[in-house]
Amino acid sequence: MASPFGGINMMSYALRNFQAALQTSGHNVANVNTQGYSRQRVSFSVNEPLTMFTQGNLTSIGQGMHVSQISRIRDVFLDRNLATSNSNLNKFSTAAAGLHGIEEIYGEPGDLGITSAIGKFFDAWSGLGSNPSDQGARLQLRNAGQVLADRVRGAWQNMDRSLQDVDGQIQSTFTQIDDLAANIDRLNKAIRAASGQNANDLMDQRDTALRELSSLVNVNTETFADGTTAVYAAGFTVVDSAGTMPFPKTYDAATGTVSNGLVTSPVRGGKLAGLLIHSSELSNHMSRLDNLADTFRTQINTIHMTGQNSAGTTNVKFFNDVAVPPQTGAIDFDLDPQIVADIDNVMTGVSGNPGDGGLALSLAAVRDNPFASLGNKSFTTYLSEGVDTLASTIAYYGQAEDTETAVNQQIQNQVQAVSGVAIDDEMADLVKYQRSYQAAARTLNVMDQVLQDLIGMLNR
Amino acid sequence: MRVSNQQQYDFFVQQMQAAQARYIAAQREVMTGKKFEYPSEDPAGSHTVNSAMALRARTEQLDRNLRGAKDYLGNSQNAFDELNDLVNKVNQIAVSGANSTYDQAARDAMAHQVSEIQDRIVYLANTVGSNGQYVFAGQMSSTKPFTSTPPNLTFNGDDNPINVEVRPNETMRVNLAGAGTFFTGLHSTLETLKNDLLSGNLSNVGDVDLKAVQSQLRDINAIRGDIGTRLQTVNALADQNQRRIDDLSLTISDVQDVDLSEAVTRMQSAQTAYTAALQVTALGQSLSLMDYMK
Repeated sequence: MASPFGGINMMSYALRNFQAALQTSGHNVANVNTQGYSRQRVSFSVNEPLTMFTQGNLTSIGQGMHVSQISRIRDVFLDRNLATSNSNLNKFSTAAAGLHGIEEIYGEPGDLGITSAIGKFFDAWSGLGSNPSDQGARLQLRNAGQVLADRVRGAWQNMDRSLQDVDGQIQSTFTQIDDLAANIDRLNKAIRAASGQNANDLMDQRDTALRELSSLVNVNTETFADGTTAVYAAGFTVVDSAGTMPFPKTYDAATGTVSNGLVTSPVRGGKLAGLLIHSSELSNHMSRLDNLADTFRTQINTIHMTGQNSAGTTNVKFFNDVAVPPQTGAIDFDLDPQIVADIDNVMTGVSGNPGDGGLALSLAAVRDNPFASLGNKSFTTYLSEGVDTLASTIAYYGQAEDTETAVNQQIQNQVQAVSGVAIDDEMADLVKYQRSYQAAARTLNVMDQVLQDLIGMLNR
Repeated sequence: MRVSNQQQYDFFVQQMQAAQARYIAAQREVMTGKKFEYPSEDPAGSHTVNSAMALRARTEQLDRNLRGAKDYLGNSQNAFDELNDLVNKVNQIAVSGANSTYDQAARDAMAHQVSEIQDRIVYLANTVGSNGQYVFAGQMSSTKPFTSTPPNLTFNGDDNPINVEVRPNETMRVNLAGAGTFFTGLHSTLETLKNDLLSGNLSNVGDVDLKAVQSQLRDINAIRGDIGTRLQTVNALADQNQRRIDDLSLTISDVQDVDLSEAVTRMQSAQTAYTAALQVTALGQSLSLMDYMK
């Protein structure tokens, strides 16, 4: 036979459990805006019934319920998808924004670009060759040469600054990766210590950290029975059950890899991959500008040095090029000091006659010549090839970013649909648990009255 | 489908941002008048614009070169037009001078006239172009090409060409070939005529001298024809260039410029969409079960 107090006991448990459910709904409502929070749900289970013989029959009497677990609602599959999508999205958006910066430096199409400067430079030779006695044409030529040198050099310098900036960003990404790994390791340990206990909120925090990490670099994870997670970033172990390991700090932008001295592994995703693409493109375009400047120096100077002006001066270079210190590339691409000093050192012919424009016209014809140093292309074609390729690459990354943004939003929507807090749901739950609580209290009250009646009967 | 608050909020924000981005893109098109600003927005179009702009700049330079050519040829033409008048007058003088009805005093006057014409010819041979260059000096364009040291005319220039790039990588000679020989020859023809007039050598004046003058006249006409033809070519090329420049400008505009009325319409519809997104957000956020609970 059940104890007379059994019912009261049972109902007091029910009250406590409904309170726990109310508390959980409150926790959900309180975290409606918390990033990475997964809503939690209380699961109730029926207590083992009390079985006894009554009048020769075996009968079970219900013993109420208990809270079996408070679980977080989470779809692990979506989490993995979201991590991959984050990696891709950040790679594409970082690359697109970075390469757009290079495009801005080029300033094409229009009058402010290098293409236009090259065109005007050769136009000026044509103008001067056709009218060698025109001092205006001579000034215009020197000016066009100066503008060309300034633009090539200026673009190179801007790209060099960007390259240093990107290197700084890569270093700070390395630091961020290590910081996040340390954070994940700390949460791993806390989750392990709380094993069997309610570690929902710690797991949410770890998932948020993992999500952040996946936006920096491509990440793989492995979860163990004790609740800890091992994290592999770009193929390198950064967190395992023992603790953290530093992410390699040596990178090669051209191949898009990081290396710890023993192993070299490609970075396939995340902001880091985008930064490596940016860095490698910057180096590529800087070397293209170097090529352009060197070819201008060699080709224009070779012809220009055969010229003679009316004062009998010969062997004058047009673009600066001295052996010591060696002038190579775009970094110090400029006019020769002799040209800057006196515009009569701009050669138009080989005879020294003031009306001889033959040399200037041959220099104007250099415009269409292909050069081996430019991959058998002319100056303009070589330049526009670089800009066009860059533009297509940016367009590709831009489209990839748009697509991946849509995918990412879709996954986030799904994640939110599964794990997000809906206030209306919680309100409905609150009402439900409130009513349940009221009913349990009422039941307790009835049981109390029954007991009171019994005690009152005994008093009589 | 279950809809959480964060999801709803994210959705509203995404839609508002997308609508705003489209609105701003449409505004930018209207304000700049350009379909794209950077090559990556239209790689193919940008390539077209860039090469068309380069070609246009080159054609404009050729057009300027042609102006230089016109300067040379025009000045030469003017000089030879006047030369033609002068030598025609010499021709008349030679015809009259051979006539025995004129006395020696009249022939002396004629000789004086020829001498004045010689001076005038030297002046024309030293014609200066708009940059101060001597048109008939060859490449020695800053040296006065002809100096008169009676009875001779000395040529100080050379016979090298002044070439002008009139078509891509194609040049045209714009100064007169053999100017030195021509002017010194003309001068000496006149010198002989003058001396024969002064010495009263009527048979020479009427025969050899007259023939020489007429031969010079034919040469002058041939040269005038040649200069005229080249001027016509230059003018035709200038017209061609102008058409080319217009065509290229049209191409650039076709690829790069927006149709303004279309862009404004697009901007207005983007604005409507943006306003709608804002309103929907305001409405959607106001609904809650809490309003119906006591």
